[in-house]
Amino acid sequence: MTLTIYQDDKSIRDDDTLFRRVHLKQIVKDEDTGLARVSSGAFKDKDLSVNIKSVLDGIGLGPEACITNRLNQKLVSLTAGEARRLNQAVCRNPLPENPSHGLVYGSKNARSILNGLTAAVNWVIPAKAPCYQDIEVEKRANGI
Amino acid sequence: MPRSPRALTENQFDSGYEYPETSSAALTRVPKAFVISTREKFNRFVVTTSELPGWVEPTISAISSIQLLGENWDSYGGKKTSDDLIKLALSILTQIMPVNAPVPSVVPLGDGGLQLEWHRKQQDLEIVFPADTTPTFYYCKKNSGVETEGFATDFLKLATFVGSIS
Repeated sequence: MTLTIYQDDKSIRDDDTLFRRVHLKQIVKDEDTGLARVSSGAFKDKDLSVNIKSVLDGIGLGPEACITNRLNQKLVSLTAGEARRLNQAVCRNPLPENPSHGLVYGSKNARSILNGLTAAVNWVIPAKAPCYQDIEVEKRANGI
Repeated sequence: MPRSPRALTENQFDSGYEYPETSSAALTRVPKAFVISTREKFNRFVVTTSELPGWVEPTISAISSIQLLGENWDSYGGKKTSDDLIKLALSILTQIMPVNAPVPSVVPLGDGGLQLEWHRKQQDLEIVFPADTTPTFYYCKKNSGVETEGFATDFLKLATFVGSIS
């Protein structure tokens, strides 16, 4: 078994934005506000895949490219600096079909890290937290 | 072909297959027990209860829907949710949930685990069933900032927290 340890890449600036797709099944209801929120379960991968905005910019793509043809996905973001403050390494991991692919790498077992990541993310598509009812309607419409 | 929940009898409920033909009222007429099973019918949980709690049907429906997710369901290589973990999650729920308990959100995890969670009454409660480690819980009371973590086998604590959000 090969164990890969990723190093933080300082060429990714702290203010660079990292996009992460979120499946509708990972969006839950905040019953106090009626708004949708992203479950902490969406951020548990040790090597959390993201798309790096500066790379997307360089190839002329916007954030919507991250969820093109992905019916059941929404898009959220956090900055590289926020990830680093939570003891995560941020690195490039380009794939042939996705040159902007990167990783937020590190253990996310500690609750402080998981809560920090969950709190740090901003909605991108849609631009703000939707009513959970709208998410539920979409889930039903998509048969999930 | 995957199927959704259906009533087996008026006091039994099978999580894997077809919705009941009538509403849940049909299930709540005189039930003394209900059965929750996953795809393998021989793995059933029988819980004796004076009534079918309101959280059961929507929870089973949510669990059934995550059972239908295929490999790579999240586009990041997400694995199918393990039937064993579903059984474990249901087993724990039946031991900690009062009749009036609110329905949990059922969230699949990328590693094939699942998570049950509630965010209400200024409290967060999450019960996490990872694919390869011991299930745990996390509770937070936002107003006081009190946070508690532990193993999901601590039914007494979990029941207290579920009671607090009910």
